[in-house]
Amino acid sequence: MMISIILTILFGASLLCALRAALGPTAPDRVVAIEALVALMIGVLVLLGAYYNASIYLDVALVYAFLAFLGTLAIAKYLEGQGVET
Amino acid sequence: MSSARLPATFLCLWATWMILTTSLDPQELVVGAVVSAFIAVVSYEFLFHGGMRQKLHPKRLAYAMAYPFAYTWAEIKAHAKVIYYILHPRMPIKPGIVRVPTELRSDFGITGLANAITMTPGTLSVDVVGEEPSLYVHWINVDTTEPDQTNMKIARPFERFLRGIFG
Amino acid sequence: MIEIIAYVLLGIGTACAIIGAIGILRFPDVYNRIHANTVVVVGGAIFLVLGAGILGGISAFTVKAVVIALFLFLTSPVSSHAIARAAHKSGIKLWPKSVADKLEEEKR
Repeated sequence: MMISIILTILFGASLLCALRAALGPTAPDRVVAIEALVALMIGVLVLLGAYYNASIYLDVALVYAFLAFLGTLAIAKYLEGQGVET
Repeated sequence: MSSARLPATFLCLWATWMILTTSLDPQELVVGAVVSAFIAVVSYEFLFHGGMRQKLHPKRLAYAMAYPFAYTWAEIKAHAKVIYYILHPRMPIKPGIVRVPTELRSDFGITGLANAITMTPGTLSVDVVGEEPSLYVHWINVDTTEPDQTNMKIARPFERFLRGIFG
Repeated sequence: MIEIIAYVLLGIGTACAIIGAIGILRFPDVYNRIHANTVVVVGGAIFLVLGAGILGGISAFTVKAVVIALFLFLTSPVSSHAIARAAHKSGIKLWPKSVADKLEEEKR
């Protein structure tokens, strides 16, 4: 019961972040909004893992966090306008 | 000293593997040993500088134990402040980028300070310059732009501990 | 007992997550939005992960959840800093009502 309330509130928060990602005037705005969305989704995944008592959700969350981190760094490097160095 | 660096790196990586897999099955352990040996051979040169005696100096350990508490306190205060700005109907913020000089000299210390400043909401390190190390910090509510005052207000809570830990 | 602690952590995390999301929507420019993003990650996600980790008692699940929280804690400042630096280098202006920009003055 508590968990479904929490998940509903987190869904609202994700909608707000998605709205900013859609509106955001510049590219870094969108990146920041999507970064927050990823953080919220990691929280949701771990919560679902606790709810269904399945630890496979945690592996998904860990890999998701790692790939999102690498993606953010790559986009930041690209936005600096110097091309991608080694 | 370089003789102990490779095994130390290997053991840290292997322990991380065991925590991530959470099983003591022989198969898992062997695969983990092979993978962490490979990564340790590739990357051991980047980690663990200096001697063991100097690393486990009691004063350093004391600072390292006290740092999380000071850090958590700073974090709670910064969160309360930023949540107040978000929920205030007119948003009374005065953002700006200020220069914060620091007394830290080692690379690890400056990295730790920049990360700590970024992790506390309300301050965000934008750039670092090397000559007489100083950080350019985006501050959500600029009280002052004088370098001494900004150092007092932004960096002082972390600087004392980081100087004790990293020198 | 441990369930109460877990629900307190989850409550703090949920509150910080929704407030940070409102902040991301309301703040006027990229740099201010990154402050709100820090609220979402540190106050929101890390507390949610820790709370969900101890919801079913201390076990292997908790250890993995702590590893995820530690990973978020270590990588979040790096990506925030990278985005802020990239935004400033690619010439995105601060909010017009900003007080000072010492970095821009230094470059000139």
